[in-house]
Amino acid sequence: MARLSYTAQRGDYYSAWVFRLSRSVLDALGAVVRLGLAAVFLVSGAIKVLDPAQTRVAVGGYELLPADLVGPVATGLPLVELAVGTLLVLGATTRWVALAAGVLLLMLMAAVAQAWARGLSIDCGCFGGGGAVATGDTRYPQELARDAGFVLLAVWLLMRPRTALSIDSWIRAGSRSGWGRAGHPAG
Amino acid sequence: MSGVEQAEDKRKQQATEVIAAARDGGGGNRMVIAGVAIIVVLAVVIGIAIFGQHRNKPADLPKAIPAAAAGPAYPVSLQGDAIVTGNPQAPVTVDIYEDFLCPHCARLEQMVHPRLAQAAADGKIKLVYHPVSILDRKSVPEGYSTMAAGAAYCAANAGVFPRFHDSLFAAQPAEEAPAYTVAQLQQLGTTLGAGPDFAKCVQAGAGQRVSTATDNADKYISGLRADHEFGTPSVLLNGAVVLNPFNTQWLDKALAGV
Repeated sequence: MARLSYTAQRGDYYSAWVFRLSRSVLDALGAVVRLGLAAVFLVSGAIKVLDPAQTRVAVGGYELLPADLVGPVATGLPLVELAVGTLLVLGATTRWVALAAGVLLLMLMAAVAQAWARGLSIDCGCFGGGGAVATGDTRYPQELARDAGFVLLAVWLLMRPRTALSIDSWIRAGSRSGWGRAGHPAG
Repeated sequence: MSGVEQAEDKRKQQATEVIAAARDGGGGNRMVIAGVAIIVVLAVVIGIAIFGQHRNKPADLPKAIPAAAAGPAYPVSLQGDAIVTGNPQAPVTVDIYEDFLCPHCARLEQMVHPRLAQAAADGKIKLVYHPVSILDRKSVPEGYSTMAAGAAYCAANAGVFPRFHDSLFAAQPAEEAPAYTVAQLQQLGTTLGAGPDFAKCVQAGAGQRVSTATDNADKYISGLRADHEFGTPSVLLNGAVVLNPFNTQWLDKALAGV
């Protein structure tokens, strides 16, 4: 705000207008990115929560975890996904949630990549399904490309967590400090 | 807009912000409200999710596999990887290839088993069971199909095959859900009257044997079929594939002449 008023006082209305417009457009675009990423996590989490047995098969299919850990991970992963999705919908502590989302996506991509590298024939089970599939029915490149797209969304929010229609912006409107500095865009 | 008007606007805006801040008691209140709201929403979402997870759990399996009632008694002998029952010299031979985890096999058993068992007991047919394992990856933990098929061989040796077989299909574990353990299979056999060798036999397992038998069945059945597919249940009547065993006319035909 301070910088805006300063610019306006100098009479540079045009650049102030452009700055204000581009900022609100970027905030709106950010909201779309945020809600899109939220939908990804909510849908994938909900599908997994509703079919726990299938989720266990999907987690087991990666052949990464000891048998004792497959169950807890299959139970916990969808809950984490739902929590991330919910926080993204609310737009609360967006930068931190975006960081968590990005890290989670990178871990899942690493799991898919190792399955590919080891020559396992599995479905990633990212949105339901999962477990063994016939050799030749794997879709590792597509799964990794799709996840990479989701990572880009997370990176946007990490770089520019300020979005329209978010709890962060509601708090910012009531206070200059907000959630520490986390909710503020750089500058 | 003149400089004076701008200054006036700015003063008004500042005044509004001060009033708004006073009304909220500053930004701190918004953070508290938001924090509480977030915790409540998260708790509701996670709560519903956990509730959903529990409600969708498959029904728990019984601790002890319920022993099926004794049906008509028929002789059983193990010949290679085939469990031959009924009258080996009968003019009608029925071969059944099944996986103990396969739901369609359980359905077929329910439809045709009473009549087949009776015919076997009456010496009218030679009824041959071929336990195979094609669904090992569908149980939790994996491998129930092989374990159960191996235990079926043990049951044939121990003289308890008919009720062992019937019990496993009557109380079949669901796919992609916890299956029976070695201990539960051992207990079932013992309950049905198997001797101490049975438990040892189940414990030892028959992985290689079952896997070879499954490969042989796959080659044999897919060779007989026009579509070159092998699945369970597969039924042969006098060596010929019954394309749709669920249409029990094949059984009517088989039993008509005997």
